[in-house]
Parts: sequence; structure tokens; C-alpha cells
Amino acid sequence: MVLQFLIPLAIFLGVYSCTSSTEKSSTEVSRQVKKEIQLGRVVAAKLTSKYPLVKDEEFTKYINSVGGQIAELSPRKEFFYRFGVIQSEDVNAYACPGGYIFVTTGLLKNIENEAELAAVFSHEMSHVILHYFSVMYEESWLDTLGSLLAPRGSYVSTALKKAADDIFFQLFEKGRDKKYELEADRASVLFLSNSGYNPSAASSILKKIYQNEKNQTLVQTHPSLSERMNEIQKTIQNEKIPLIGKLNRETFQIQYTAFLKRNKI
Amino acid sequence: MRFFWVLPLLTLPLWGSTFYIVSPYAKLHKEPNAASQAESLPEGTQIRKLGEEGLFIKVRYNKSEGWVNKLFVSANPPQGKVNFGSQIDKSTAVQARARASAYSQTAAARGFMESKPVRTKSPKEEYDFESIQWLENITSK
Repeated sequence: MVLQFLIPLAIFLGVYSCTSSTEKSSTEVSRQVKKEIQLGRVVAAKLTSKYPLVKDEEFTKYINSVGGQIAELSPRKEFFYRFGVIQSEDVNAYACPGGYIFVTTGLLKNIENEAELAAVFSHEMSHVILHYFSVMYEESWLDTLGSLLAPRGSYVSTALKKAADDIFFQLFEKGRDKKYELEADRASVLFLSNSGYNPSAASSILKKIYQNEKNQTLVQTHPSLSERMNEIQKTIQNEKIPLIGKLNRETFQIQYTAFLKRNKI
Repeated sequence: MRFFWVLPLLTLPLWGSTFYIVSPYAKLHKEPNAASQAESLPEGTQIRKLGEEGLFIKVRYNKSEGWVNKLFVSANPPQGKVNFGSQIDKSTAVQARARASAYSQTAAARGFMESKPVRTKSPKEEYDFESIQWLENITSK
């Protein structure tokens, strides 16, 4: 009779002692973060292979100063958030694991002010922060994908290629779950407000994106405009967020005009 | 059969994972919205997640329950930046190739794939690491 009670109790305590200790050592965290960044580099490198990175130092530094203001608020401070421009007429933006974020030249054409650029970055950064990529994929996958870091001239096995293709398809072609997109919209409003930008930019840029005819990929991988606008409005009302803050239209226009002059886009 | 009652207990430890406060803006709210009554939460504080609603997670802190914005917490304790990208050197690449080789050999032994890696497009064509390196250099200055 005693054993009937003690054996299950021993099992319970054994499992509890293993699973309740969720505190991570700094080595473990560092290892996990490095893998997430490794994965991000591979996906980002695949993306820039498809859509060339526009290597304009001045404009890249400018957009990183804008993104950096949002990144200051990120709870995942272990990442260097890096923002780049990729050449594509598609109106879209991409977030890779580990903090690599890209905006297309097609989307830039729709942006009128710095607050709208910050809104795009806020949405993408929310994916990096909230939707833990390293949790979504098994450890073995991360090891496999990490090996893609081998430099030029090396061999890439068919298994590695397939793994990279799968993750790329899942993130950028099939799209994330609708709830993640709406959550990123809600978070973007808070990021804008807390960083001093006018949160109204979140809805103004969305309207322009959905009105543009070169938005097919984005529309296929995201919820409808009305759902997203509704989510933004609800967040503003529920959180009592004031629609005040900087737009920095002139600063953006000066930088963007100079960027266009330097690059044939 | 007699031990089946213990099964629900086994799931208990999985409930309530640990998070860390990583922002000076974090507050413990009465309701899952930023407009509700709140008290400050110091950075580095450990909290236990009890539930989730929208952008907020329900937590237990100092024997009381409340809501914290997800944007102010992390599953990882506060730490410095990990600048992995610019630290990649030859030895890292060699290790990476060794791991890939070990993976291929193991998979081949189990009959999951060809025994020899197949050369696909060169990494230059399919993975543009030079551009990523450029971006990392620009943004690290």
C-alpha cells in the first residue's frame, strides 16, 4: 500500500525537478542565441541572393538609425538588429531570425515619412521578438542549417538545401499564422508610440500597401486590410494610445531622394 | 492501471514557464491592457507565466497575479549583445563543414540520403553571404 503511494510520488518529484528548473545558464542562452543568429544569416543570405541587397552605405546607415530607435525597446537585446534595402518591385518587408530585417525598394516607394518606415520595421521586429524562431524549429534543424555557413567553394548537401528551402518557404512564401501577423500589428503600434513616432503611421502605411497593385505576395501571406486595421484601432483604443508623435517627413524625403539619385532603382 | 491517477500531475511542471523582465517600462497590470492600474517591476525579475491574452501574459509575482506586456519580457535572462555575424572566421567554417559532413554520413548510414553530398549551385549564387557581411560591417560601425 505504501508503495502504491510512494512510487507515483517519486515519479512526480523526479519529473518536477527536471522540468521546473527552467532557468537557463548564460552558456545555454548564448548557444541558443548564436544558433538563432546562424539560422537568420542563412535565411537572410538566401533572401539577398534572390533579391540583391542595395549597398548604399549612407541610406543603409539612415534606415538603421530609424530601426535602431525601435530596437532600443526590444526585450531581446542580445541581437544586433540590422536593417537593409533589397531590390524588388514587390511591396514587402522581411524579418529573418536573429534580427536581420529587410524592406524592398517597391515598399520604399510607398513610404512618405520616417514614422511609416518605423512602422514597417516595428511590425517586422515584432516577429523577431515575439515569435521565437528557435522554438519553432528543432535543435537538429538549427545544427543542420548552421552548417550552411560554410564559405564559398564548399559543398551543400541536398538535405541541407531542402532544409533551407523549407524554412524560406514557410516564412516568406506560405506566410506565418494569421494570429502572429495581427499580434505584430498590435505590437508595432506600441513600439511606435514608445519610441516617439506617431502611431497613426501604422495604419497609414498599411492602407498604401494594400492599395498598391504590386502587393500580391504580401496580401497572400497576411490577413486582410480590414482585419489588420481593426486590430490597430482596437489596440489604440484599449491601450489609450495618443495619436501624437514625430512623422519626420522632410528628413525621410531628403534621404530617400538622395538614395534614388545615387542608385538606378 | 492503479498509477493512472498520477498522469495529470506529470503535466503540472510544464505549466508556468519562467520569463524575465528585461525593460525598465515593464509594469504588473491588474488587467491585460496598459491603461489598467499597475505597479513597477524591476529589470531582471523572474516571473512565472500562467496564461496569455493578446499582447499580455498573466504572471505570478510576489504572491500576487497580474499582467505584463510581452514586449517587456524575455524567455532569456538579460544579457549583452551576441555579435555572432562578424566573428565568423575560418575555424568556424571548418567546424561547420565537419558538422555537415558528420550529418551527411549519419544520414547516409541510416539510408536517408545519398552517401556523397551533391554539389548544387555555388553558395555565391544561392546564399549571398557577402551581402550579409557587408550589412553587418555597415551596421557595426
